[in-house]
Amino acid sequence: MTRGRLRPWIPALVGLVLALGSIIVASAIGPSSVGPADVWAVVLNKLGLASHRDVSPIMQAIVWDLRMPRTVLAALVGAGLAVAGAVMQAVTRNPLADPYLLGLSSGAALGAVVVLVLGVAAGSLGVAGGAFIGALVAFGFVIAIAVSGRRLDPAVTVLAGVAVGTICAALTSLIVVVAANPFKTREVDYWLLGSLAGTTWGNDLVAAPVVVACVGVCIGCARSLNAMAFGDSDARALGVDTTRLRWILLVTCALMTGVLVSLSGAIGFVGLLLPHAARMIVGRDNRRLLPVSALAGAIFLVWADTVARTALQPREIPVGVVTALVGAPAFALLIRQRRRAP
Amino acid sequence: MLAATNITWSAGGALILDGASVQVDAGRLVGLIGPNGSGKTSLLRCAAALTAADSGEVMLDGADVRAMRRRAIARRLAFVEQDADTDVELEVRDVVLLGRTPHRRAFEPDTAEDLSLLAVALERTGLTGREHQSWHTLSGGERQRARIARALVQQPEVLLLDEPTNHLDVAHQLELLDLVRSLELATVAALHDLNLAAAFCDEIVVLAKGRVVATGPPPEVLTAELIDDVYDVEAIVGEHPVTGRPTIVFTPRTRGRGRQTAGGD
Repeated sequence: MTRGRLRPWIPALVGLVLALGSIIVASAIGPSSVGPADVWAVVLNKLGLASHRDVSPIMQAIVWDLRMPRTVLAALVGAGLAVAGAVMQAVTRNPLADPYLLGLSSGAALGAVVVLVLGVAAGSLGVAGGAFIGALVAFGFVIAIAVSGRRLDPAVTVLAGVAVGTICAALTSLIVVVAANPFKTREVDYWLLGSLAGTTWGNDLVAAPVVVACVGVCIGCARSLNAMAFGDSDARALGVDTTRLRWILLVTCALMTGVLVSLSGAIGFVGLLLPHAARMIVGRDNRRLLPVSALAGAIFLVWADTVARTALQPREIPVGVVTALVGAPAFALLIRQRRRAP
Repeated sequence: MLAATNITWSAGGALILDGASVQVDAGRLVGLIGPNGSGKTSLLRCAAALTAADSGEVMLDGADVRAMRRRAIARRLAFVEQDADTDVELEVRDVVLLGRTPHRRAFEPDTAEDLSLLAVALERTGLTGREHQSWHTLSGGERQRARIARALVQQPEVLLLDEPTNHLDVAHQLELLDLVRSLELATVAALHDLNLAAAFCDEIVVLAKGRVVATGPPPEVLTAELIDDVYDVEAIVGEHPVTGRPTIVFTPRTRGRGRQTAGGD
């Protein structure tokens, strides 16, 4: 369970190469045939690192304007959700915790539906803005319920998340039923299941700084997070301000998840599955686990999204359906192989 | 080095500590004894600043712990809890290296110093060669020793131990307290075994119902009268033929002189 001890950077390095390679190769896959080498040439062209005259403008447009923004966003969303999942599992000491635990996805869905179906602030906020605000409002309610004094009890936080999530889901269904517009309902369904269709570089420019900063904060807290293994009191005896650490990590993960959900919808299973898989590769040390979770999440979602957009061409499968279809059996296998409960 | 003075603490409406004090200087081992529920663990937790006392003060090296950051406290004071356990799959090495937490910043990897402290701590606690063993496969005694090793790599000046000899066989009990003495830290250990307390401690603090009822060197404190008062047990106190320390033997009540139990408390 603790391979990778001698050269701890090897799994991270391999992961980084695989993640970047996945973005390139996945961007080559699609209805019109483009080779990975062409993708590479387009990337070099666009970054001004080299100029390959033999890449046609159409190919350039397909790769750079259509496919790359989407694969890059898949990588960012996958990385962010996986790290948020690993952190939530550690902070709540609950192996079933995932990034949506704090009612974030249900809140985001409610926010999106309010904008999409009821048309509230549709012009100013847009669906993504509504989702982001919905996620943060739900998170605010969860914290308000769970907080006592300055402290956040992990178990109470989980229960509050379930309560708020249920209310949001019920309200979402109510709005959809009352509004009863089949086209909007379909759009809502897609959104609830998660989809990266129609991604632009503008979405990546929103996601990238948020994911990099939030994942950085989480990795910076990794040592303190390790110290919580024997419980809060013991962590405090080791000099960790556990109340502060919980606040920092919960708010960081909520912000990151809120942004990601607003861009991609609620893609399930990434935040639950990938941290467990990463643990099998590098063990429990969060200093190694978090970077490797991020890279594993990125790789996983890039390929899940590639399946989602190509498997039933020309139709798209919501990527959340793919992550669940692949993720759930993989998760079941993973649990069977473990000696102890996670 | 560490002085907890006049500590009062109540929980759930019950007064647990009622003006209790304990202090310890460098190189001294203070034994905290008293019946179950007398407040030993609570006093240690208050002294470690893990529990905020309702009143009273805790001074660490002349500084009030309330004004200190957790990290600063943890660099000077190590606390070994009783029966600490985890669900996380950890190796002995991981557990021991947690002791370096207060000494390292975010993003800072384990240093050569950390690893050499690890090796020394494992050797002193007899765990050399076991560093890759899973925590969950350790016996109670081995866990206790791993936790002491963790406290050692924390490089504290003050060491607080809650029932450190729990789960240990007699050889390991003696070995552990020998080790603790040889560290020459300012140590306070809550102990159940009065003979161990008598044999190893420089000073004994006796707690009963949250109050300190006696403080002093073992021969002065550990008298048959005090044991009867505090534990309500009849004992004969003798002198160890080799060490000269007090030895205590208890008289089972069934063979006793038929003490009155009426009105006993």
